[in-house]
Parts: sequence; structure tokens; C-alpha cells
Amino acid sequence: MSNTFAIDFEWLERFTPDEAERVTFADIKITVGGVVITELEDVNAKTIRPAARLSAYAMALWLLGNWWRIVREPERGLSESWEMSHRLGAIGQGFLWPDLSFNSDGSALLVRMNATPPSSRQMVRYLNGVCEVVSLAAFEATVLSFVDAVIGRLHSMSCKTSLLQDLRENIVEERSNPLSVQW
Amino acid sequence: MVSQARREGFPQNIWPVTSDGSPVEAQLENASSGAYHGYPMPDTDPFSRQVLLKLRRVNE
Repeated sequence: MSNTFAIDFEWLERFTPDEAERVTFADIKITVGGVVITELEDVNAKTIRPAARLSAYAMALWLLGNWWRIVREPERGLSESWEMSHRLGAIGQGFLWPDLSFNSDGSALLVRMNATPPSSRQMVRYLNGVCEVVSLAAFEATVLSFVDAVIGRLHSMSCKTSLLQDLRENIVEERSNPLSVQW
Repeated sequence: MVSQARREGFPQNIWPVTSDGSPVEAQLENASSGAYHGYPMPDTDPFSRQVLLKLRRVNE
């Protein structure tokens, strides 16, 4: 089993009225099993980049908001509800998210990334597909570390929202409760 | 299709469909003037299919 699931990022400047989104806009690079799944072709700029320009805040909120479904819920036939909680593209908000999904069997995650199909007219085309098993421990550690960095960024930029911090605390509390974890 | 969340009477999000059948998401950008910022929804957003499905049901 591969343990590699990594999220690297660099903060960027962005002009948007939403404060949390403005200060957490970032170049985000996600690596799964050694494959940089965020490597993309920017059709307008005619460049290939390893990272996608996305909202780290929106991504952190989605990952925590769907935490238990992502780490515990297997795929029982595709449904809209399942996809909204397991496919990164459900974050929306005007960003072109990689077509990345997480499918748990309770002890490991099958992480699947679909490259942008050649027929797509998207101006940003993700180049690498992957289907890799990642340990839950590695996934959880990476996500919590990423969330902590986003929370730190919000604090350092004096952004007053506490939603992410509250979600983080709830999950830590639930993880320490064996009954919650067994769900 | 509009969201339940509202600011100053305006829905926080609206999801129209263009005349050629492409779903669009728009977020309320200025609640005083009711100005929205819209963008096309990619196929990789599972909610885009729900928008199209809802429209089909309304038109039936």
C-alpha cells in the first residue's frame, strides 16, 4: 500500500470580496502515490504547471465538512449524495477542481483522479490520472496538517471566521470517542 | 434554482441554465445592489447534473 498523499501549497494574492477566500487563495499541489495529480495545462497561458490555483479555505471546509463520509463511507452505487461528499469537484465556487474522488473501505482509501478528457473545452486541463490506495492514517494526517495551515493563515491575516476551527475541534473530539469512530 | 440562504433578500446562490443547456453557478457578490458573479459549472461538479435534472423536472 502506498502511503503517499501530500498537499503542498503557496499563498497567492487574489482580489475578491470574501475575506477568507482572499487570504487563502493558493497554488495547491496534490500528490498521490508519487503522481502530481494537479499538474495541468493552462490553455490560455500555454504553460504546464504542477499546481492549481484554488481556494484553500473552500477545500479545507469541504474536507472537514465531509470528514466522516470520506474516511468511513464506501461507495454503494454512485448517487448524487455520495458524489457531493466524495468528489472534490463538488466544492464548486467557480474553481476548476481536479476530478479527484475518495472511496473508503474503512481501513484505506482508494483515491481516484481522472485526467481532463481530450474532448473538454476547459481552459485548464488536468494531465494525470491515477488510481491509488492510500492509508487512512496518511490521508488524515495530511488533511489535518493542511487544515491547520489554513487556520494559521486565517489567524495571521486577522480573518475572524471561526467555522474551520470549530469543525477541526469537533472532528478531534469525535476521533477521541470510540463510539463515533465505529459509526 | 436558488439557494435557501439569503442576504438582504437576495439568494446567496442561483443556478441558471444557458440557452444551449449549460449549467451556471452565480454567487451574490454585492448584497446591496443584488450583483452576482457567475461562472460555468464544469462536468466534474456533481451538482451540475442536479441543476440540469431539476430544470428537466420543471419543464415536464
